[in-house]
Amino acid sequence: MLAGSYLNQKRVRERYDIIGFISSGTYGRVFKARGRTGQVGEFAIKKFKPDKEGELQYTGISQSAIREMALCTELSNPNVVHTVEIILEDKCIYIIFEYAEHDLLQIIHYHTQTSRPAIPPMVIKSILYQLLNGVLYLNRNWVMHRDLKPANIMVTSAGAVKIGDLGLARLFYKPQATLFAGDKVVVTIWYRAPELLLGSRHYTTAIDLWAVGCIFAELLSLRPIFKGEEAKMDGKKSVPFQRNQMQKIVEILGLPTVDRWPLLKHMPEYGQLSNLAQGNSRVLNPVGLEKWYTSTVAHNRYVVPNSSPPGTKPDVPGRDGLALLQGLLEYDPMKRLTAEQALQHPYFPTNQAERDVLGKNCFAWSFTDYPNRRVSSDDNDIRTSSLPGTKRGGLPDDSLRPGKRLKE
Amino acid sequence: MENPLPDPRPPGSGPDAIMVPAKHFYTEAQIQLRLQQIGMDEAKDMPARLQGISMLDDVRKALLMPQRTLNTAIQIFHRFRLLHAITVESGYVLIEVACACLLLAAKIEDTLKKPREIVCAAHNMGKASSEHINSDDPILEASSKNIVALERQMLEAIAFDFKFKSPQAITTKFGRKYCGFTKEDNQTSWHLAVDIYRTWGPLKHTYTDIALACCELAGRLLEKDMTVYETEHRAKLYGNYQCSRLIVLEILLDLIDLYQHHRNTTKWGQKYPPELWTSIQSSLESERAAANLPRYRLSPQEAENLAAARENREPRNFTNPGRPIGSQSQSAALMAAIGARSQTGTVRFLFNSEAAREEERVVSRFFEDVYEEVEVEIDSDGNEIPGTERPVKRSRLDRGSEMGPSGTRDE
Repeated sequence: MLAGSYLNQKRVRERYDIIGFISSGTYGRVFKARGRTGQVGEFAIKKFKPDKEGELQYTGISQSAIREMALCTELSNPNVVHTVEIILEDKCIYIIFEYAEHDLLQIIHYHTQTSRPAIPPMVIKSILYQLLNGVLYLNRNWVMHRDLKPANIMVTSAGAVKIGDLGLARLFYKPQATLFAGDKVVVTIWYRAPELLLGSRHYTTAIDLWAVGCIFAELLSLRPIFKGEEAKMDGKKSVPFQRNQMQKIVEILGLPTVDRWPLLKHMPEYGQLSNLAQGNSRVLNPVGLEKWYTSTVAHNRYVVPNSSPPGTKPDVPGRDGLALLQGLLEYDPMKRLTAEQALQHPYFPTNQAERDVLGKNCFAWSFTDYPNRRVSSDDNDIRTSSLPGTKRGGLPDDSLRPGKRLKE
Repeated sequence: MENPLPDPRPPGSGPDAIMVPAKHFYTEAQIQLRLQQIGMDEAKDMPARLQGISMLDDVRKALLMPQRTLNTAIQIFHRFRLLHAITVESGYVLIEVACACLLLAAKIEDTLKKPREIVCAAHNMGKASSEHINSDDPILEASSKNIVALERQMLEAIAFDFKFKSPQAITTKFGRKYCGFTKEDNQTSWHLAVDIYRTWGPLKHTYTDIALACCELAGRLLEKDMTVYETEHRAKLYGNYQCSRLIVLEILLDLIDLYQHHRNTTKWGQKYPPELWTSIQSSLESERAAANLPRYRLSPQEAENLAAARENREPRNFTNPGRPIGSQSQSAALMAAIGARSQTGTVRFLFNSEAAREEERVVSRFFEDVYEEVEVEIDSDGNEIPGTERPVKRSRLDRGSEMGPSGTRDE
């Protein structure tokens, strides 16, 4: 009837010069662009998958795109990526974002090279402060991000931290059904909170704070703290218990107990906890977060918190850092720190002037010039679609990371 | 034949693009004007509207979707009908339009359904269970493709504005808190807030305006003593929610219009005898006349536009200083652009209305068409008599100079 033929429109290119390809994901692809008609600065263009790519059956605009657009156009905060406009072409939708030169994943990777020092403690503090500010803004406005991870936290060249990719985010104000009913799997596996792993049907913004805790740990140690392997969904019917991921958490934090987490035994996968130790002795002899923290800090040649004098120097992660990390990686979601509480934590200064400095530029304490985002210029054709099922080669890092998140 | 300096722009593209600053509310005049621009009017629109909404309601019930999804689907359906006439000539099939509205609404409201499931539910509607088919039946292939194709036009119609508020819950809350309604009383106010979606109400008024009006009407229907509400709560509530008597009367009269003229298609119209509706209407009308309030909340220019649209004539331009006259031709141009753009162009959606206005101002300079009309006397053979030209005192701007008619409520 009114389907109309697909004309190879290039209207996006009338407004934007595509500089190159940045990355790809389940949603589509992201390009770096410059304005053609006098817009200031650079932009990231997110192109949602048109029907021709990949999937056999085009089912219209994806729900995730709708959520992202609905949220992005209303949200406005210095620590959340700013949306410039939406361009609707024939069966093809683009969201134009402000461009950010770096992201946390890229920064962490830069530091993993053995010859390089760890991320300076004040840089970590500033990143965390800004990140929590963004999370606080989202949570206060009834938005759950549900996919916080280093790759989704952007940092501009001016050192402003910006939360990006709201493709899995949703409003949690008076949901019609359980949040589980909407999306069976949320949050990339390494950053997934224990209540999600244990199959909770209802969950809260506490899942975002667990992810922030994981990111904090990763900034300190330069590798994911709970690097589990994802059990794949087979048969697509039921969601498997993420046994390996749960083990990784328990190996460090120890088993959760009903004492510390009263609602634990009501979790659908509670029964799985008892046989977690089978074939894995480390589950019963957990490292303990304190020991993990101490050895990480020592390994990174930060001053060891135990030996540091009282009234810790600001360039040391310190005891307060450990306490904050413990508060974020708390098993019981009810006891886990909220974004508001975390921002009031003694880890951060109480003096407003100091806080303002912290919130402005995380590179103020950095000795490093981070390389710019890799943009492949040979793949800047925003029009043509790739062959079904093929994935464009993104950053080499992509292969090391579980970039995909399962959607159902 | 290589061009040494290839122009990356495709030839013949018009103004940079069309932008639609999200517009959440319309006035009665804007609605009627839009209908007129697509060759429709209230009378022609009504059958499709009521039938479409019944279909939406039936299909969403079959799919066990909540009221909230229906509300959003109707919001989309209304906005779609302001851009496209659903007639035989236009080629739109009502049931497919309805299904597409529901498809998008389900995505917005987190009650996801596959296009095939929706089309299947629509197909099985009103059929004996022995004739029901499954959602994987090949019969549904074509129409499920069609509704996916229609979705794009739905997105244009709502201009990527996905925030629709439902009035029913707050209606019952107001009823309980301020009018002393019991649970049963609130059934009535709830259903009034459902039926309001069969009018243009949700496009014209906020959800709290609607809730206030529905509580009042429920009170009248149930013959409740509303003196406490009127003396103690009403003024405060109107103030709190930026509502006014004028708005409430407009909603009430719209709703009663619906109940009087389309009793059978509404849930609640049939429950009461026609005389009751007439008596409530006349008491409201006399209140309106006594307070000297207009029927609709409009600017003078809009009131004139509305009268013109109803009588199917060109509106006179009001010489009302300070009110942008371009606003009417503006919306016409915008409308025509989306409507005529068919399926091939690009629509941009900006969310900073200030930036949108500025851009529109710059672009419009290049598309402004100012011309004079002259009257010429002719002789009996129809030839112009030279030297008799007289300018007609009317100039038309094809593109307006200002955006945003005042008197509308942009959120």
